[in-house]
Formats: sequence, structure tokens, C-alpha cells
Amino acid sequence: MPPSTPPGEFNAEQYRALESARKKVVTPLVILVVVAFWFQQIVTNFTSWMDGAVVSGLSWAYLYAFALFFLVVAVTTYYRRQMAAIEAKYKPSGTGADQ
Amino acid sequence: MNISPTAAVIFLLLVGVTLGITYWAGKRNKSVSSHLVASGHISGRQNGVAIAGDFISAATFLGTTGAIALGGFNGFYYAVYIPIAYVLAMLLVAEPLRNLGQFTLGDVLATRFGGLNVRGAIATSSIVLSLIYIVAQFVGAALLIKLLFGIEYWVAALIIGVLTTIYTLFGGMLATTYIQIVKTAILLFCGVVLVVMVLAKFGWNPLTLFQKAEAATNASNAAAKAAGKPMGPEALEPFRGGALKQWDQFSLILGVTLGVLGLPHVMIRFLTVRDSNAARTSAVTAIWIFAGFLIFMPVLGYGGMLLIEKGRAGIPPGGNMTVPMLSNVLGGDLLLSFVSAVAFATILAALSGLVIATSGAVAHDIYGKLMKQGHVDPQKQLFVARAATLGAVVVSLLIALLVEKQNVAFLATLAITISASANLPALLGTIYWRKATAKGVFWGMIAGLGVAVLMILFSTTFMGASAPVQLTAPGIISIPAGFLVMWLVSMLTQPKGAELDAANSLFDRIRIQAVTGMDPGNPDHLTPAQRVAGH
Repeated sequence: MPPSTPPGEFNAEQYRALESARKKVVTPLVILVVVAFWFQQIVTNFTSWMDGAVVSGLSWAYLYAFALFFLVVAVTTYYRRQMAAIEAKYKPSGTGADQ
Repeated sequence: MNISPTAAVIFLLLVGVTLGITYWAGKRNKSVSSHLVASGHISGRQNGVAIAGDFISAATFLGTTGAIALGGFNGFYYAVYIPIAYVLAMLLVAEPLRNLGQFTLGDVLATRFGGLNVRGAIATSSIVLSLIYIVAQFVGAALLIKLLFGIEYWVAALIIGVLTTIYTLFGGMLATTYIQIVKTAILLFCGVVLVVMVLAKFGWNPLTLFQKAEAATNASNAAAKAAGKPMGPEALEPFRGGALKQWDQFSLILGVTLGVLGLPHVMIRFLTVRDSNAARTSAVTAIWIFAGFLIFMPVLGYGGMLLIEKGRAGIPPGGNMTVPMLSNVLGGDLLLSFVSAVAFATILAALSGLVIATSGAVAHDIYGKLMKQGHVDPQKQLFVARAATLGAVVVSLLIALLVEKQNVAFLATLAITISASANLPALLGTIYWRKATAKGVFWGMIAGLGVAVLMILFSTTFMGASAPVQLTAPGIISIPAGFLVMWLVSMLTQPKGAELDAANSLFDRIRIQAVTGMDPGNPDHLTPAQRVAGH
């Protein structure tokens, strides 16, 4: 069922554009994080694929786990920048509001 | 170990600082809003640091390091899930929560489902899981303090209980926040000192440390094999102890990861900032601290394994003493005393957050909304909040004193699994799913809570090896059960006709409020800064 028009004094079209822009950022990031993390859990827990060494002193399992830490830093950085851009684009007009 | 003069001085200094913070905050803690959410005046950065202080418990700092020392790579699972869980919280929950909530998780659900059942269910779930969590923290903390300072269990529990009560009763969320910030600062300093000292012993090369850890476990496993004894986990590769253990491990990580997104004491921290932008900053700050701190856990774990006398065999079961023993090896009594003080601060900060969350659910949801139906005198509500604060500590302390000899490690797992199985489906359903109904959300919470509790009761934890449920972590069953029942009951109770139109219209309003912070059905209450667009 299509969403009904939001009540009140709202500019529904502009709101939908804002929500759509947010969704385009959030959805891929959620999928990326969920897949990356649960793939690590599954392959390390249920298979021996990650048992070997990349170099002496570093197993593939550790390399993957460390990579997840860098992934979260990259995701948070990207998310903040994207959200700042979206909020600047859809800043309410005529309010002088700061975001 | 017994308390040394150095430790006593550091310990008293720390208690003095935290009491000073409480005195300062107490003069400002005059309303329900300040008591429960610091009146929303905490900045995003400050809140992020406090979130880190709230979540890095003694179990995380000491337990994870010990788990790596004793269990190798598998111990690192308990570090990796934390930043991942907070990224998911940032993307899915933090900002809508700030925009929809006031004091508790119940507020978020009540914006869409006005009946008392849904608010009552999440308040009950929040109180139950917070109390379980507090008891788990109390017992673990008292045992740890007993070991660190050589004092009686009941004395340790009493000291922790009295200090937590003072902080939360008088200083409320403001004192709790700043104590969590101080704790995070000294914890990070402590972590840096220990990591630097460990790496200095291994030529400043983490790979050298890892190589030596691997060589040490290989040597001990070879000796065990030769003697016909069971071999321990290798240092660098995942340890898989059979299908049941693998599924149990997977279920545990599933539960703790998703559980973060529904934990009341974690989520109400996002209500202490002024808007969704600050909530986002909070999450990002916390995630960066988690990532920067936890990635070094293997250095401390393997450092402990290699530097503590007799290696793994010299570390007591459970591994919680790895960091204190390592600090004693590296820096003698001074560093040991400092680490013990950090562990103590860690315990107090985590407990304070839990107690505030419990008192919020009691004073705001149960007393203010369910018993008084919103018509409540603010001073009386503040009194109830403070009474609930005291009650939460006293009840937990009494239970903790009774179960000293019991193994209560399952309590923390149970609490966080209830959060993932009951609270999370309700929160996500309310915020994101148009077809969710009040009955669906209510019964989803009951199912998640019920299945998690029943599975623990019928597991090997309570019934021994022949228990009908062989998993000790119920998340893999109870979390889908919570979501499935919410979906099923919602589909069976879909509104029709005018009710459907009203439900859709309300959902649209909720979505707008979740994204923008403004309620289009109530424009008078909006600030200009929160408006998306005007005509």
C-alpha cells in the first residue's frame, strides 16, 4: 500500500526526498556491515578457511578480524559525511536553523 | 593479593574524584529530566566517551584479555562484536531513538502504540534485564575486588553498592555521565601504558609477539599430546570444539551483538543529547574509542600469556586476573594498583548506568505513565526515581550476597539475550515496519523474553549434561522467535477500513519524527531547527 500523505503543515515531497536519500546511504551500509561480520563469524566458526597464516605471526582469521575494525572506522566516517551533506541539502528554508 | 599502601592511595584518590563529581552534579540534579537523562545537555562527543565508559565493563576489559590469553583467537570474538554492534545501533536505532524518545525505550514504543500494554511490556522487560545485568555485574565485580584487594566478598559488594547508590541517588545521570567519562580516560591511559610496555618487550613488533604466542601454544600442545593430555586452543587460529560448541559460540555472539541495540542502559545514553546529529556524533565517538581500544586486546592477552610466570598455567581459571598479573610483572605494585583502580572505576561506571536505566523505567514508565497515566507531580516523580535507584541497588546487592557461591556467568548472557529477543524486535518493528501492530509488538516481546528464559532454565546451565536444551546461549532460537511472533501476530491483527487509514497516518507521522525529530501532528512543539520544510 502506498504511504498516505503525512498530516499537518508538512511538505511531504521534500520529506520523502530526505528519507529516500538517507535510505540510499543507510541500507547499503547495514548490508555491508552485517555481511562482513557474519561472514567472518561463519567462516571462522564453521570452516577451516581462515586457519592458515598470511605471514608468520598473522593468521587469516586475525587479518579478517582486524580488517573489521578498519571497516567500522571507514563506515562511520562515510556515514557522517553523507548525512552532513544530506542534512545541508534538505536544510529547512527560511528558518536560519543550524544542523 | 592484598591491598598495598600505593593501591589504597590511588583507590582513595579515585573515590574522592568521583564523589567530587557527584557533589557538583548533585547541585544541578533537581528534576526528573536531569536525573534520568541529564536534561539532554550532554554534548555528542562527551556522550560518545560516556557510552564507551558505560559499555566497556570489567568483563570486557579484564575478561576479554583473559579469554585471549587462555582461549587464543576465540577470545577476540568478544572484542570484535562491540564496534560492529554499535555501528548497527548508529545506523538503525540511535537517531530515531533520540527523535522519538524522552526518558526511556517505552517512550519510543508509546509514540506509535499508545496503549498501556506495550509500554508496560517493554518497561517490565527493561527492568528485568537491567536487574539481571546489575546482579551479574555485582557478583563479578565483588569477586574481582575481593581478589584484587584481598577483602571479603560481602565487604567488596557493600563498598560497590554504597558508592553506586551515592553517585546515582544524588548525582543522577549527570554524575553517571562524568564518572563514565573519567573512567574511559583512565582506562584508555591504562591501556596505552600496558600496550607500550608489552610491545617494548617484543622489539616493538606485534608480529613478534604473535609469533612467540603461537610458538608457546604449539610447544605446550606438543607436550600435552606426548603426555596423552587434551590440547589447548592454538594462539592464532580459531578453535572449534565440535558442532555443539560452534553453534553455541555463534548463538552467543548473535545474542550479544543484537542485544546491544536493545539494552536500556546503552540506548538511554542517546537521550542525553539534544538532537539526532549529536546522537550520531555520540555513536561515532564511541565506535572509534571501541575500535582503537579493543584492537589491542590481543597484545595484552598474548603479553599476559607470555610474560606471566608459568604462562597459561599461571593464569587462574576465567582469565580475569590476566591484566592485573601482567601489570604486576610489567610495572610492579604501582602499575598493579593503578590497574586495580581502573577496574574498580570500570565497575562503578557500568553499574551506575544500569541503575539509572532501571530507575527511569520504574519512575517514568511504570509510575508516571501506567499508574498515574501521565498526570504526575514532577517532584513526586523525582522522589520515585530516587527511591527506584535505591531499590535497584539494594535488591541487586541482596541477591548478589546470596549467590556468591553460585556460578552466575549465565546471567549476563541471559540479560543481553532478552534485550535482543524482546526489546530489539519491538524497537525495530515500531520504527520501521508499517504493518506492526500493538498486539504484534506486545506478543513478540513476550515470546522473545519467554523463550530466552525457558531455554536458559532447561539448558545444561541448570539441568546438567542431560538437559533437553544443549545450547547455553539461547539467542539463535529466541531472537528469531521474538521477530517471528511479532510478525505473525501483527499479520493476524491488521486493522481494516478507517482504523487502517489511521494506523498508516500514524506510521507516517512516526517516520517523519524518527527522521527529523519533529512531530507533524503537533507542530507547536517543534523548534525551527528541526523542521524539514515549511510552506
